[in-house]
Amino acid sequence: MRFRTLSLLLAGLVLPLALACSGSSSSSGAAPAPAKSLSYSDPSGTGWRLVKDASSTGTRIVLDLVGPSGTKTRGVGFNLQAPPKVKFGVFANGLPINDTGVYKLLSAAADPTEPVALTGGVKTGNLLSVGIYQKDRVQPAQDSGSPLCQIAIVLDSAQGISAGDALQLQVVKAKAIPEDIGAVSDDLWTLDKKMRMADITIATGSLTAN
Amino acid sequence: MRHTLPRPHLGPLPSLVFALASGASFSALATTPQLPPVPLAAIKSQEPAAIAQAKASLLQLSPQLRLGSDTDFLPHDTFVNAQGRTVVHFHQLYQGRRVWAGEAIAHVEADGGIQTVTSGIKSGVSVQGAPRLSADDATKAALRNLAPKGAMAAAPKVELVAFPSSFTGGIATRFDPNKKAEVFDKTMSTWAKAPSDPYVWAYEVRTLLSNKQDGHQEMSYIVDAGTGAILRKWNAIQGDTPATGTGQSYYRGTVNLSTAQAPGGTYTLDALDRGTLPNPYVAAQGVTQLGLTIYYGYIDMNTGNIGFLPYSGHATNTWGDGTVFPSPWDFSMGVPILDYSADGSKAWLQGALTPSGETAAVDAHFGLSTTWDFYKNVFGRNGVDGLGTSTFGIVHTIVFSPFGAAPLQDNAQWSPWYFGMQFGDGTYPTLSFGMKAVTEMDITGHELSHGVTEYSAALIYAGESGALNEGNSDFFGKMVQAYADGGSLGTSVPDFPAGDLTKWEVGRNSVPSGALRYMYKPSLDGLSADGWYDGMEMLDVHFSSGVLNRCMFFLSEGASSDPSNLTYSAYLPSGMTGLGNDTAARIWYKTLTEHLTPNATFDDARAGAIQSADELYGVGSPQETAVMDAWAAVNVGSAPGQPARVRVTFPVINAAGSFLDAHAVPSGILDKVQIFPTGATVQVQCSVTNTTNTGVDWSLATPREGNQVGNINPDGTWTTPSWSFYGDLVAITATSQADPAEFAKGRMLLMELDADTDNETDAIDLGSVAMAWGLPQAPHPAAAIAGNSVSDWDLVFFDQAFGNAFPVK
Repeated sequence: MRFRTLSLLLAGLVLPLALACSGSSSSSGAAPAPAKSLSYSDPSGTGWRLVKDASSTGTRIVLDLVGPSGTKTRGVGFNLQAPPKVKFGVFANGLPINDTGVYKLLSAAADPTEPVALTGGVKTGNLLSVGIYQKDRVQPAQDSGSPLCQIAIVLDSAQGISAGDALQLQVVKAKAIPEDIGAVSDDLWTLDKKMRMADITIATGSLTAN
Repeated sequence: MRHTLPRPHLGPLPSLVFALASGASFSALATTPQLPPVPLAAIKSQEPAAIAQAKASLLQLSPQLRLGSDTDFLPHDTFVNAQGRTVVHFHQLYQGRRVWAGEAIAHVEADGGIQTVTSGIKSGVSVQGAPRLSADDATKAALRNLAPKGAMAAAPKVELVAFPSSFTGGIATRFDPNKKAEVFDKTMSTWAKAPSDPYVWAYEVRTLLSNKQDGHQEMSYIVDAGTGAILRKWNAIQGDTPATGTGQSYYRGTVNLSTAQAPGGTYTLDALDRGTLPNPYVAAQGVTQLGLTIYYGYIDMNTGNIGFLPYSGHATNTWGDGTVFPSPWDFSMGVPILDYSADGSKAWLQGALTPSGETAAVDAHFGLSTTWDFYKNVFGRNGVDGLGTSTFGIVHTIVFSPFGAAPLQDNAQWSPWYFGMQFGDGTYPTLSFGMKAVTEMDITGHELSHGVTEYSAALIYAGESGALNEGNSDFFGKMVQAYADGGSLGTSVPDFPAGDLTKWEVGRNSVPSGALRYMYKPSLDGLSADGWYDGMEMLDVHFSSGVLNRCMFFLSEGASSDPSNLTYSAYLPSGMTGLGNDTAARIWYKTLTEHLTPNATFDDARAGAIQSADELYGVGSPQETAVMDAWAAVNVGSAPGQPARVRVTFPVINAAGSFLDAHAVPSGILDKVQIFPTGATVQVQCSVTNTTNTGVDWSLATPREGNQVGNINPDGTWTTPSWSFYGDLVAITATSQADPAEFAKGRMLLMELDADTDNETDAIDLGSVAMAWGLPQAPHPAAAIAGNSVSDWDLVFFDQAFGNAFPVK
């Protein structure tokens, strides 16, 4: 798995560089203008996808993770590969992932101080890795058709982004906790077989610097 | 003392029972076994019939005793003795009222026959008329005589009785230990003329005083129900008198002991002059213990519980033989060897009541008595709580563990529940490296001082306050030793001989080689701290106490300016002159009792000590300067003229109120632990203040022998090892490059986060943890980061480790 991750990482690095060179050679020779804003076009389809949230601004794109309507899950995590010039933003919770309230993160007998299964970070190579999960098996699985969590991409002039840069985003790994994860009363063998996160594919849209 | 041994766990103590034997058996050992349980139970079931049989027999005697039909007998105490006889105690009644001192004891055989009747029955009882005074009148008369200074502890108990006039009191005497003679006791004498009738109606009024002004008194009165005269008065506390015995101790040679002499002439290891209020734990068992008493541990053979019995019933007032108590241990069976009481119901360590066994009791008694006197004479403190509440020490304690009962304990404890102390026998010579009886003077002083702390600053026994608690006991243990060395006289603390560092070694004579702790250079034990550093809370309080121990040594004895001297401190290179024991003790006692609160830190202690020095000797006094110097010499604050110290600290990760702070035991133990995943490049955090050179030198150590942890780069980045297990602690030290004497010690926790075992650490792994949350046995062991079952701990550990390794920049 590490080798696969590495190869994807290299692919992600090479592509934006090639695009930058291409943009430069086709211009009239003037230096590209620094980007002043970002734009994002949602992907098509009704499956798992990252769509632009209405709270987005010109310099901060908030992306909602939305799943197929009718599919129930208990949590989701994914790794998003982005070019080096892309900077991920953090939310008020200090994390690069924001809870939209669909998943019941606290246990049924909620203690307001209890920790939740919500985490995120940026690994080497600008790989965003985030996850949000229900931990209490008593809590029912949730319909995935509405925004389940959010991530953010911010324009950072220090990153040297130029207007016209196309910044490719790619979800290289994603998994969701399915509705059926077995019952505690199951024997360990059955439980072990059912307690598997399901692979999912998350579509991304087009991110462009302007 | 809870000395150098680490505390792997703290479990609940076995339930304890208390028993006081009046005249414990010193000679009869295991000669008459108890009846088997079944016959004993059968006899006991016949108790009501036995009582009825005995009562009928007594009533049959009435004509011979010139007792009329208004006579009756009331059973009030019944038991089955070791011989299987039912013993019944009866009050004699006249017209339904108790005849004062009228008593009969019947022994009923198992077959119902009356074996013996021990008769104290009063014959010819007849009382003329009816009581003229009410119970309230009698109570008022008694209280006028009592003249209490403080509040009554309870309402007086009043009972109308038929009183034999022949028992009217008169002149009382008492033993004067100073004159060594019986002298006239004006307080206890009564002056009423005996009534002319042989029996009169009277009220027995029993009172209880237990307060600071009056001490503990249980005066009882007989008030004539016709005239209000006090016919008799006595102290209901059974009247032992103070005596002075001689003991052969192990640690202090021949010593004088304050003891108690019972009316029968026997002696008890009870210093009646040290403690005027009853011990609360003993009182809860229905027994009054006044004075500082020494007990020995025993096992109740019926219940298996542990209790303690007094060293009493001693025919002579000489105790011990000064020898080491040989551990009664059966190597072949791995069990303690026991002696048994005559009825087989109690067992104690073999030899505990022999002169050799008494030796530990002598040392404990002398040590605790000296400690009591030290606090009273030097500081005017009346015992542990300042109120004169009686305390005690238990020697030959028996320790229960999962492996059974054992006498081998290299330890001593102050027990808040007991308001008393326990002292182990030590494992020497069973173990050549073990301790001798843990009753050396500085140790007995140490333990009682824990009690003083509990009733003054109440320092919490963890973290820096715990270190202060332990250090305080070490220091005052030494001051008690100095007081004893000086003859236990006067109101000041003598100095130790100049330059004799062994006097500042805790348990110097208890440990065959070396000592428990070295106050002049605590790190000589290999674990204790010579000065404060960030991260000290990770040390056991017996080792972090080194800071206060060395500070108080410096304050008393001074510090050398010679780097090769053991009393040199790199934090105070110029050294300092000590103030002597007495001044140091007074400053610190005032600090403890007036300026420290339960969660005090070393900084608080320094501030409190400066305040104390100011109050005692004046602001700007040499004593105040010495206090500042002594604390500076252990890296707490700066000495006058010194710049602010360079400080190296690790950041607080889990502040008060956070999940890991709230759930860790003790609270705060994880507040600075940095958590990282294995096999990742991370940034270790550390701050250096009060200098422009913020560079540090890093060093790592791991408890896992043989595992390589790599090196931290100068900029704090570190590639963590790729261990494949769920967690381990790595010790880290950051030493200031600007001042190598300043450093911080911390712990980092390494976690294997690949919970879905796909050889990649990412946030998706947290999903596996969440799926297994709450399961006692996670299907995927890797999902259990912090233990076998998956809980909120795993979530927090994961989140912190992941965030620390992969921050959003």
